[in-house]
Amino acid sequence: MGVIETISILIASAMTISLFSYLWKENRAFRIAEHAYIGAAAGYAVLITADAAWKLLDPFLKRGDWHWLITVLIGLMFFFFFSKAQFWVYRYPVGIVTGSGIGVFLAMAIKSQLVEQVRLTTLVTLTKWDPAGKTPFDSAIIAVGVITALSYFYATAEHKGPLKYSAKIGIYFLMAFFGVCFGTTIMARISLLIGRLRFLFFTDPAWTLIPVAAALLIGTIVYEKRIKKTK
Amino acid sequence: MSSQQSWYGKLQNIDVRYVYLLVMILVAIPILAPIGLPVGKLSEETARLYDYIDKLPSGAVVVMIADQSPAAAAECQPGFEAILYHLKSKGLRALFFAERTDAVPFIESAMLKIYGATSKHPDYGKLIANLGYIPQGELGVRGLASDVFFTGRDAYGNDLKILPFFKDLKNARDWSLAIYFGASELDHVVRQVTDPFGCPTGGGVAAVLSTRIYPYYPSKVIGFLIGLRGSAEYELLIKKPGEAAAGMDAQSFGHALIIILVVIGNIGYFMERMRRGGGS
Repeated sequence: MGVIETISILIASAMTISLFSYLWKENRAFRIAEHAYIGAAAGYAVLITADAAWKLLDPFLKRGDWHWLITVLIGLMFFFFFSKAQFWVYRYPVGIVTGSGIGVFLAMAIKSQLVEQVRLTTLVTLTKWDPAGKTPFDSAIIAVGVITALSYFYATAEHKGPLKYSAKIGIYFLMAFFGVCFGTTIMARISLLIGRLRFLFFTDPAWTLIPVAAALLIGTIVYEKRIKKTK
Repeated sequence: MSSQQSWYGKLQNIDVRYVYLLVMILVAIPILAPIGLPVGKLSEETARLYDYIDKLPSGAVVVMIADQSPAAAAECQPGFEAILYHLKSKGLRALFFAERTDAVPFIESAMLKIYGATSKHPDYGKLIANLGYIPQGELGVRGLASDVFFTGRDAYGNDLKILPFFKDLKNARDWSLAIYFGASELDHVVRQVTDPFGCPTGGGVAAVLSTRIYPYYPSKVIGFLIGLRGSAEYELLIKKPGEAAAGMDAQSFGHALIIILVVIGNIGYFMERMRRGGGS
């Protein structure tokens, strides 16, 4: 392992431990690591984005399609964000980017997320179409879940009579969904912890900083307690 | 406060740092001393993705969309590497691109791990190609799906038109599968690749995203890996246990602790309510 790689691993280890130290309390090591991470990530993002933009533009310019330079001008117009007097110029690139984004999104969203969802939900629940080995019982749960959960959000009529009960059942389906979301979020967070702990434990020489950090932490806690007592 | 005198009242007001410490210790123990708990029944979502890839003919194109941030990489990267290994062993073509800047290193890291090299590998440009970062998320995906030569060059500056990888490709109709890896959202791949071009979507996603994929499963999203568990299952299917399988003991311990804490918290809450006479 080279010197640079060793130093990189030690920095990564120190940063990881410093960020974990926030769980104890806000401290200087955490702040340094936090700011360094944000700064490094921003710098890296600028570099990669600039490279990607150039890569997209270069073939057109090489072919002599100079009109593509207009896109560079539109991009540069974003910098008018920093000008109070000419701020209005900034609105044009924002409008172009937002407009093209919404255009691409909306054109397909109506098909993918409305028409297709309605079609497939109907197929699963009302016909014998069986894409994932679903039993009639599964299909019935899907049908009840979709209808009752939708009825909970139906605000045009007062929730009385059958609508009241339907909305109430819908809440239970929604709660089950939120429960699954909570469980999977926990799973994600623990996976993240596992990833970092495996790095700290098994990457040589990252683990060497663990006893150092533990000693520093214990020393600080003892020191703070003594200060408190003397006060 | 009277609630602090009862044991359940004390439990509810426990310093949260003890909980962090407990989680840290319980997750660390099985990492240092693996127990080898079984992963459990193979999930249908993983099996379907594996079967689909396994049945693809040699030379079929699989697009690997990297959207894993460093935060999501712990869950997604083992799956990314396991699928890439599967593609390599089946002689399938893998086309990579990143949807976010911080996902770029994860593509290179997987290529190094599975192929031992990036652009210098003899298969580069024939069986693998890396387009690097494509900006603008959904717009970028649509651009590439409409025209595979959209970026002009790959991540290493090679002209795509001279790479044999692209010789029979025009747009997403020529792809066999587009697999999204990340924690943000997979809907845009269904919107811009599956629905307009008929190329099915797969996923290697952070567990938290899984609930949003089920509406598309299995008609649009043919299968997906759910978090670390899905990655571990895929590693076992390709008979190459790695990072994810090794982390499953710790995952189980962590979950068991959280379940116990949730139960204790609820017992405390209901006992406190009963003590107050059923009021809120």
